[in-house]
Amino acid sequence: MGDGDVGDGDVGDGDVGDGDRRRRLAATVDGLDPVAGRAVHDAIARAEGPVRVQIAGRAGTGRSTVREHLEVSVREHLETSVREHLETSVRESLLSSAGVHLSVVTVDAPDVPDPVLDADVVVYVLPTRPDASSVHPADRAAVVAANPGCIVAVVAGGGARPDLGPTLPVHALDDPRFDAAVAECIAGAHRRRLDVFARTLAEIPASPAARDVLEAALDDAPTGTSGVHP
Amino acid sequence: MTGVDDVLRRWNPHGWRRLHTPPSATVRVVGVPGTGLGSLITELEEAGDDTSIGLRFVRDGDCAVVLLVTDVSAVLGRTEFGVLDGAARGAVVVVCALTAVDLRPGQQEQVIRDRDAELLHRHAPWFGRIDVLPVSAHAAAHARRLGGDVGRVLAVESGIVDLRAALCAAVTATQSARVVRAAVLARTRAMILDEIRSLRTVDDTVDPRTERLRLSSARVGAQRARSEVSHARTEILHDATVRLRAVASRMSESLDGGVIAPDDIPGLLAAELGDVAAAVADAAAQRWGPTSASGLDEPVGAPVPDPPERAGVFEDRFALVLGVSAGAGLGKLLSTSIGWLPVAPAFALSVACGGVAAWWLVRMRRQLAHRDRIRRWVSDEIAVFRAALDRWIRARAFDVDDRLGRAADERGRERAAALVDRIAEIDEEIRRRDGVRRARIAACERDLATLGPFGTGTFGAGTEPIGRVPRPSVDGFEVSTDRNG
Repeated sequence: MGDGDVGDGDVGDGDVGDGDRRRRLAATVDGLDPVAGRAVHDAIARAEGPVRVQIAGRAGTGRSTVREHLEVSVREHLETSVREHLETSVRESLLSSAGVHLSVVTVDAPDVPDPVLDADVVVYVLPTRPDASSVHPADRAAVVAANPGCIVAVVAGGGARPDLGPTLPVHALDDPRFDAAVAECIAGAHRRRLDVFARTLAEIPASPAARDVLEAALDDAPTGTSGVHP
Repeated sequence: MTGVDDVLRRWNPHGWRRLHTPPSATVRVVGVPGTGLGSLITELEEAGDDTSIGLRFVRDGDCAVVLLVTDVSAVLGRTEFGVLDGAARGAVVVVCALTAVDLRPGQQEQVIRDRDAELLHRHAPWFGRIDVLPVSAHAAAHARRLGGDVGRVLAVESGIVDLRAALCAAVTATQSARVVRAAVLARTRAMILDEIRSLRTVDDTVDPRTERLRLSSARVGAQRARSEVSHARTEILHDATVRLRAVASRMSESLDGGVIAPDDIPGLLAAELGDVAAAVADAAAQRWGPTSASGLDEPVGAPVPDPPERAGVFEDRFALVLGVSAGAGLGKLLSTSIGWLPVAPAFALSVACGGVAAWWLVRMRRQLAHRDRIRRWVSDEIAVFRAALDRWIRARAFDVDDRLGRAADERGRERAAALVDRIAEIDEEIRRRDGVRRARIAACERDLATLGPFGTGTFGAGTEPIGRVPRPSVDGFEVSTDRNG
């Protein structure tokens, strides 16, 4: 295995083609036990779906600016600064075309119910207000009600940053720490998915032969973060 | 109280109160906390030198002029509209101030301003086109500190002069009863139109209609318990057959073993069959109730008749002859074997033996024949009894089936009647609700007609000019209200 899928020169041989390996594992299991094979396919679909990032805020606060910024910076950050902290496989799958899905949602819009902030990562855009330290009640309510895997607050304009309390620092858009925080959140979401994938594999009921294949795959990837080796 | 007044009081009590309150120069300033309300009020109070009006600013209370303060950091949202709706229930004119324009100057401010104006018009069309006036409290404070001509020019630049002029114009406009009345009428008309729209769109007869559909598509039919009846009949028949077979075998054992004299058999049989009849009657009562409704209370099974009399027949005579001849022969054999007997005693012995043998043979034959007759009689009686029992059980089952069927039909009829009643009730309810809705819409339209001949949907026909700010002139400077124009 792995002969035809050698990637870039700087990527190690063992880290290439996790998606292919998973699909091969699913095909093998499918041949041995169709029901378990379907479950493996489902788990792969869930694990390989894009990481959802919601860019939320009230209208006019500069969400599209943040989006444009993130479209460029997240990729850069995943490629460079997080490289040493992030497993190559995670980075690879994040950099694939469907890796990260950015969506912009509006909070406190008239005549429309508030969106549910439940994506893997929520980037909340705050404005600089005349009273610099104050936070608009709608913003505060939305941040409190949000239930994402990870939330990052940012001020789109270059002005003063409002205070959301000690647990949630508010970044400036041009601060590299903001990009790092978002990239770390995205990578964390991806890691969580791979862990869930490994756990799902361990729990799939399968025939003894298919079970052996699954166990072998799990043994090769004990942490669930470095992919599944056939 | 005129008709219009009554309609206004019912629909728009705040507006009605406004109509009957003397005009004042108070402006209510509202906004979401953090938009710089306090400093803006301070600057507004400091900016004015037009003492003739006596403009005052308050943070709450019911005022004819409302100043909505929003900031340039974001577009108006639900929160701001909630604040505005709470404050402007009895308002005649609303002016919107866009503060902190120095935070996002130029294009961004213009975009936010246009969007705010559009949202305001869509949210509260009865106020006419609400002016969104950019202002910078910060710049106004700076201008005030500078003072002099420069300060005055800077004050105009900061927008505070425009804003104060707009508020003065609004307050002046609300001094006119005609303007206030037109505004209140427009607001009330919008309220009535809203109500009519919601009455037209919200259909409260959906639930009863669904219920009616469900009921009318439900199957009307009684579930009969006939299969249970036939099942019980089979079981009782089987039970009776088993019991009768047991009786028959006991009877034949008694007869063959000679335990009981054949003459006692009829009594015993009657008792046994009586037991079987009682058991069957019990089983039937247990399954189908104590007695039949149709008066079918005939006895279970059949009475046991007396056994046939023994009759002297051909076989008796045949046995007699056979016994006489055999006995005579035996006597002859005895007398011959003794040998020394004279003739007369020997003959007498033969006759005696013949007589005894004939008597014994006839008796034995009669006993055998009687037993055989009794046996046949027993089996015949059991067969007859079985037939009678069978007929009784079938009759009883048919009777029960008939009764159940009639009861089920009755229940079905009752249910169908109840269903028809319920559907009629629902129809009545739907008609009632429709009627109520139509009546309410008609009442709304009547009220709308009472208010005046304005076409529907043209809000603020009388308020349109109020929001327009006259161009202020400061020391000869003609200032354009359109800062970006």
